[in-house]
Amino acid sequence: MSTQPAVSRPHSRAAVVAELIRVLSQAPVRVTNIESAIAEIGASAQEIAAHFGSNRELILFLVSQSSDSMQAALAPASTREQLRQRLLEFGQRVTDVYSSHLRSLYRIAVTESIRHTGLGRDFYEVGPGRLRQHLTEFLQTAQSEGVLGSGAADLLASHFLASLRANLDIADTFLPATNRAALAHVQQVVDLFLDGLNGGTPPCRN
Amino acid sequence: MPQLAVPAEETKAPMNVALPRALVEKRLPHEFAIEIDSDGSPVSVSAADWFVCFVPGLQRQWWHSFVNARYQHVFAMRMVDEDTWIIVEPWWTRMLVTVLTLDEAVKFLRWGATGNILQVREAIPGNGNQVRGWANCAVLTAFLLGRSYRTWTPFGLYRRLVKDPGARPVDLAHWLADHVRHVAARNADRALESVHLIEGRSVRAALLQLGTSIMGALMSRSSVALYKLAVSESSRFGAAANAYWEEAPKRAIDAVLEVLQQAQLRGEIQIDNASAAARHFVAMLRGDLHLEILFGLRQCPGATETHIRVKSAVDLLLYGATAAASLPISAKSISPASSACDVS
Repeated sequence: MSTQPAVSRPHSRAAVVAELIRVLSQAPVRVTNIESAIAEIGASAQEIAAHFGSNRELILFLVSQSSDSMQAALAPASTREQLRQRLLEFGQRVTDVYSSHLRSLYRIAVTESIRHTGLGRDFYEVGPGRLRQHLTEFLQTAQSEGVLGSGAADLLASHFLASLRANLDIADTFLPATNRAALAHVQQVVDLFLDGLNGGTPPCRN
Repeated sequence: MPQLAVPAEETKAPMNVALPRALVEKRLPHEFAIEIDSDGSPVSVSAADWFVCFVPGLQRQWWHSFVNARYQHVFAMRMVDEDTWIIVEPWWTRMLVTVLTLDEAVKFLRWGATGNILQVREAIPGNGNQVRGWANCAVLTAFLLGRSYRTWTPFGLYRRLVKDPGARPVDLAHWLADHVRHVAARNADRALESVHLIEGRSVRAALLQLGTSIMGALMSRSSVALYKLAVSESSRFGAAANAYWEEAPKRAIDAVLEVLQQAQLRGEIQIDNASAAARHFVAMLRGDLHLEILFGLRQCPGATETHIRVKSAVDLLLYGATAAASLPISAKSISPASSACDVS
């Protein structure tokens, strides 16, 4: 992250969003409050208030926008191959967004939840909660099409999203080092989700 | 010290404590008499160590120009247990006394680290005096510690306390890393203490048992507080965040990895990347539920919900979602799950 504040100039709403995403992507570990990120792009409190209402609304807008962009990959699937492709595309989007600015937003939300500002609840509902809900509906559709087994779709959605986040949570130990590694991670998650360790073969019930 | 009145029939005089007769006969009716120790306390308490935090003010106040810039305010905190803290902070308008979780306490300790933190043992019964006068933060903190110092500023109190033979400066980053490692290791030890019971079991039964223990530990209040701390403070206290990672999720992943490797040796499963599978399994146990707890939407799950979630994760890991019919669980395959909240 640059230590020099950006040259002060009027910021459009789109410019604020784009520059914040850039700053948050560059400093996923260091940023734990939105104020420092706003200061980094040189936007004024008046500009944030005019475009978003408040810093809190800005955070919610960013996470809501991220959630919408990720779930756009979840078009209905009527064959197993389509299901795999949709999950791969969705997984890739989730991984891309998480490994860029969403990790910083997540840290900011966790920090705010410690301070009991009430942001955490709203953050979850418009971000991870909404994303899980859309994935649940997607999986339910796949179940009704007969391309997915009959497990509880909300739990399956929770498992799938958690597996995607497994490498991105808090430690940088398992962060994919390259795009190829990130793609391999998503493929691994999708394969495990669809087929499990036993290749989709259920055990003998005797 | 004010005396508490409790029914006489519920009290029993300790053998080694003499009852002050004046109290029993003149002040209180006999049925309300209560045993007290030599300091006049109904319960004898051991002297505790406090973290006394000397800090610059967070908001500008008129008196700041009269005091040392790094010592504008003082408050005190101490651990009640490894996961719980109590803070005593004199405000201008009130005395803040409240209980904090570790992640909350660290926010105050971080403030403390911007000035100076001294670890000081309180004196019991102490040498303070209620008629000392002006009740500012320095005077009240000295009184809390049972000190009779004639000082009225945080810096004056610091200079007196730092000469106390038992006082020790606190390096917060170092202390926090040690503390997080200790608490996370304790949680992991408790969660994994029954690992030996799963030896020889099928991979499914072993994962159900181990998964239940791990999920209980991950969702406990203590673990959630450590996780929040690790996420929120990783940039400032990287060693503490790493200590959490090494002692909590990593040990859980290692335990799952061992189960998977043993199953592979027995030919139960064929697996290319057991480490990744173990990471995914622990992540699934955490799931969105962990986020919901983290962001204050709900409390930790009870035994039944834990059981359902663990079973779902195990079946998904082993058989995948395309196979995903609900698989039966032998009554003996898993021990009764306690509420995740029971694991501290």
